[in-house]
Amino acid sequence: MTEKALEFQHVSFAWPDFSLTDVSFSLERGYLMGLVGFNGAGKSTLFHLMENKIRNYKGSIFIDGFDCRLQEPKVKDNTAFISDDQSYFYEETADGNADFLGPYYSDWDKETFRHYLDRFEISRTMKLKEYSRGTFIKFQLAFAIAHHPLLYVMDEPTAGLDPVFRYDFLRILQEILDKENASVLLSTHNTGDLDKIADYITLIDNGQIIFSKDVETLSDEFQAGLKERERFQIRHLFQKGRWNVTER
Amino acid sequence: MQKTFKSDTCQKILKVYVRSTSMVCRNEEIMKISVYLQLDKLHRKKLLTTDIRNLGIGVVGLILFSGFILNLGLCTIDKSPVFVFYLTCFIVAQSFYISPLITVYEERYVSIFKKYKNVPIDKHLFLQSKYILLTKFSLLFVLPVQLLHFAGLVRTDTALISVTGFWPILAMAASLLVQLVFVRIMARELWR
Repeated sequence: MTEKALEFQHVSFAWPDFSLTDVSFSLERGYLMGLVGFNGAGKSTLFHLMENKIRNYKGSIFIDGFDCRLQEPKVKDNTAFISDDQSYFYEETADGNADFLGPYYSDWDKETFRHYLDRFEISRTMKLKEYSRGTFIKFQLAFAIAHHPLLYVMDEPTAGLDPVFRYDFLRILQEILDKENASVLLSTHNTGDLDKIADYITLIDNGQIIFSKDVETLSDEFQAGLKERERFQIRHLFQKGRWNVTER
Repeated sequence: MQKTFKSDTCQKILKVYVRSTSMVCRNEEIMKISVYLQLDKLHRKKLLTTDIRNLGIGVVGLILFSGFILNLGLCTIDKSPVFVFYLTCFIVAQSFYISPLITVYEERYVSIFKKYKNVPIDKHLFLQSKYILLTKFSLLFVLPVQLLHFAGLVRTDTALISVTGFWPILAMAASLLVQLVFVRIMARELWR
């Protein structure tokens, strides 16, 4: 067992029109990291690498010390992926999905699953294809909590959710961090959410990690003035027109 | 990590698992595959479309019996179209049985693993359990047909120990081969 829940080691990957370059960062157990960046910056690609949707990358990704490519079942047992494009049995109910998929996890708890379904007011008898986006995200969260993962990987989970559930969602994340000593990698455009709960912030742009720092250090640095390198990188982004303050 | 299955349905699986892990067993894979087999059976039983598919298998059985009666009446149980009839019926029955385990309703021809892409499964064992269940079903299905076929041959005074005597088993072997190829295609990402 390692204290690092997630570790990217010099990960590079190239598509014809996009590339990730030497991505390295890590997340310790029990902390929440916010992954921020513009659309097309490479956030979802990082998630796809962790899910093994893409395997032909250079470098290594470790989740709880297990190599994502070489020890896939162990990685999947310890990780919960929450996003819009997750695969479930859409023609089945929430309970049906729990029965089909849950028992494959080593620490599956159906009572917890049902508890969270009730808490999120999700119907057990509706088919998944009838869920709204928000309900589907809630379902995924309930399913994830029920198998007690060590790492939650969430791609834009709060987009499209009502403010009440968003508040509840953040509270649940806090509970997870406190009770289960799990870690969360949360990609979001809503930086207000990160202000409340994130311990680390990682900024990615154009397939490169600009920085990965804890919130306090980041706050201090911004107050004291940005370091020269980051100042240069952010100025560069301004010059490219990607961070056009007047437009945004 | 300690296993803590808590749901009712999982208790049975847990018992199988615990029993198998506590045994001094030569091959660890045999223990694990029993869990996969149990899960596959539960999966099949709990699908919303299971009743329709079971009905399909029942209808095929009925057609087989009707075909047998008809051929018995016409004394044509040893004619070659009977072999084709068996082959067609077996392929349909096996498809009804195996399709819930290797396809999903909304995306019929996607990989068998698509719905399990974030679930910690051993893909090879997962696939082996499908092969075992299909073979078991095929053997159980062919036995009564073979017995009826023998009875039909006796009625038409045809030798039992001949190629025509084993048409049901031969047809089942051929249809099993077709299904295994299909399962292999559905698990294509393992062979890439």
